Amino acid sequence: MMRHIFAERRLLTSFRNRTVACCNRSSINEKNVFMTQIDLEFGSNGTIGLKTVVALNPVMAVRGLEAYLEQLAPVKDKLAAHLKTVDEYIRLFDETIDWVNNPERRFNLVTTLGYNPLIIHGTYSDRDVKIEVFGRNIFNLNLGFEVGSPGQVAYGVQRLNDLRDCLVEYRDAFAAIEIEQYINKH
Amino acid sequence: MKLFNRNEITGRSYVVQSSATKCNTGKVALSVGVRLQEKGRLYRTNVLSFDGTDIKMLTKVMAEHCVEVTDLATAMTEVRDWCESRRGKELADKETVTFTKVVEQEWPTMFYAVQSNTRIDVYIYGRDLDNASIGFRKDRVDSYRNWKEEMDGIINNFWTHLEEVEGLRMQDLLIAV
Repeated sequence: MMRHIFAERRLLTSFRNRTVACCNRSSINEKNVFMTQIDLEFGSNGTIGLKTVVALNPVMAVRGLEAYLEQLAPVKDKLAAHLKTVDEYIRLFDETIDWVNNPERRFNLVTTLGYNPLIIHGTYSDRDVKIEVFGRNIFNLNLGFEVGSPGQVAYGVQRLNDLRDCLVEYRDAFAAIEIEQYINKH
Repeated sequence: MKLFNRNEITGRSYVVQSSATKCNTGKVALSVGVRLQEKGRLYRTNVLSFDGTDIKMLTKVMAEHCVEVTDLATAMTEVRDWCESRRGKELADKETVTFTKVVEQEWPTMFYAVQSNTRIDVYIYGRDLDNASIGFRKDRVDSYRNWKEEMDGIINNFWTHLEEVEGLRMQDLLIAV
């Protein structure tokens, strides 16, 4: 069986002169392993990545409804958990964008969902707004900008919105994947 | 002027640095750091600028520092205990737990423990930490022993630092500017 790719997208942009790539892909390989992931890559500063891998056994689909449902339930649970994590990331980005528009105090946002716990830490001064992201595969990522420059502020906020939109787009594409249809085909 | 300064190298992979400094510009710095070899540092630093008479402010910043260090030591103790409680157990699937006790502070830090049938790993995420991890192999007694020694060493050093900070006399810190 060839690798079957449900959805794939790669977006390249730049943030503070660093490359940002948003890559999302959902596929099933020749071993019937279903993989769905989204990565936000920040040049050499690491990757915010969310990935879920589940093994499917399409043979089960032809062994009757009971076997089929038995297999599908844990798969669906894993995928639902993945979707929940993506939603949580979107929430963190929403809150960060709200804070950037009105940074009154420092904040720590945290998600402990899934295998990729994340902290977003925001501080501000008269000179700049700092947004640091900590987590697995992220190396001291700073998404901040200087507040004295209106252009930089607009640019910084726009990039945050871009990242958030990447996650939303991935979530919507992911939610449309029909696992049942795939299993029924085999 | 250093009120105390301690560098301790006891494990394979970490160095503990602990200090209290006052200088003639009217600042006091309290700092405790654990440097995890090649993986960054785990720090708690508080710097206070004061005019030499503001005991109230000085007391406040010292108390905040102590709370942060206590949170860090407590979270690390919880992680160590969680890992130890799962050492001899086999698993059907990976098990993970996230400890977030210290994320509310200025230096947010997150502990994340993962166990499989062969390993238990503790990841530490935060500022200046590049995916630092401390782990051990469940089937190797020496691996566990080294891990345990390092975890205990780091935790004990945080508590020692606290004792040192709490033992500082206010008159040592106050400076006539």
